[in-house]
Amino acid sequence: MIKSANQQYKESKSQLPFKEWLSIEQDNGKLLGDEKMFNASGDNEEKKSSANPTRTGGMRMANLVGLLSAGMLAYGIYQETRK
Amino acid sequence: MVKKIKTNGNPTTLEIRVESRKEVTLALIVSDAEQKNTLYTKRTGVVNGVVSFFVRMPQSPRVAKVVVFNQARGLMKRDNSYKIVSIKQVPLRTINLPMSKQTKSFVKFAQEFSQEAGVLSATKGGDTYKSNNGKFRIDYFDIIRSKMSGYPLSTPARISQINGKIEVGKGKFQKYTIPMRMAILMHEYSHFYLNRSPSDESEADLNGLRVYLSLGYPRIDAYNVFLKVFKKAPNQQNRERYENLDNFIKEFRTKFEKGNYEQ
Repeated sequence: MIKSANQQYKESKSQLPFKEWLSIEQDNGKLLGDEKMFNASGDNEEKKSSANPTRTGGMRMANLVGLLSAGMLAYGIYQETRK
Repeated sequence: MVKKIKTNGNPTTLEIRVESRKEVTLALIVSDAEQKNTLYTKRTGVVNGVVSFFVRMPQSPRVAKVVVFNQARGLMKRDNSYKIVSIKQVPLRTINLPMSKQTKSFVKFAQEFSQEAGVLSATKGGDTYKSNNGKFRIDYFDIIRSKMSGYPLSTPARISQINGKIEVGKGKFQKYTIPMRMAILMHEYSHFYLNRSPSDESEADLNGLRVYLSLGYPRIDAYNVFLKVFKKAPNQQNRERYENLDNFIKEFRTKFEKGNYEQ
């Protein structure tokens, strides 16, 4: 798990102000790629259930269309073989 | 009732005096008459008798459009359930608190961005806006998404703890009033530039509010925006944040704003 810069700062028990410490760590390349953000809403929880309703809805619809097509195909083959 | 008032871009306070013989809930919207999605306030108030609404405007448009209507009836051409007694401009009262050069510079950038946020372009990949001195940067997205999964997040804005880059979601910001936008931007700025503990949300709320209130922005919009954000993320931390900011606003009012306009 990636530790946030703030966590690393606290654990380092550095006497330097956060910004100064951060700038040194960045210069040392230790914090590169850690794009942790502070959200105004305070939490980083994603709205997994409602965030992308079309994704689950879309899958259900695809299944339904697939099932219907397979049914129609089977019915067509059945009709053809009866002739 | 719709009225246009020349405010000429100057800091001001609109005093809108209304009267009603029975108790009514009036809605008040002040917007830029010449630019869409640019609100200065959107609020309601119960009126029974004569009441003044004060709309503090540290930033104002050239022409402000004032709309008042009975919330139960909606906007009508003639409505005798209330009467506008007067609309006048009174001086904006600000508090002269010490502010660093850096904070002043960010305030200027945030004010410009807030004024234009309703019409600026925003995309899925983020459109970049920089302050004139190049020190501050806002990436304007259609919606804020998780960096890991790409799912939309409920937050209107966030700030990188690495470089202070702010990300804003237009979906939310477009509906906010200018003071609401300012309250959020000052909160984000505080995380990186003012806080002793950068990850402390409550500290960022209070540091941001100190600047926001001292500039003369309305208390009601600060409450509105934080309640809106907390409603989408109702947890213990945000309950405590609300209590802290409520106490802070009340204390600020007692300490600095004795006799200042309401709201």
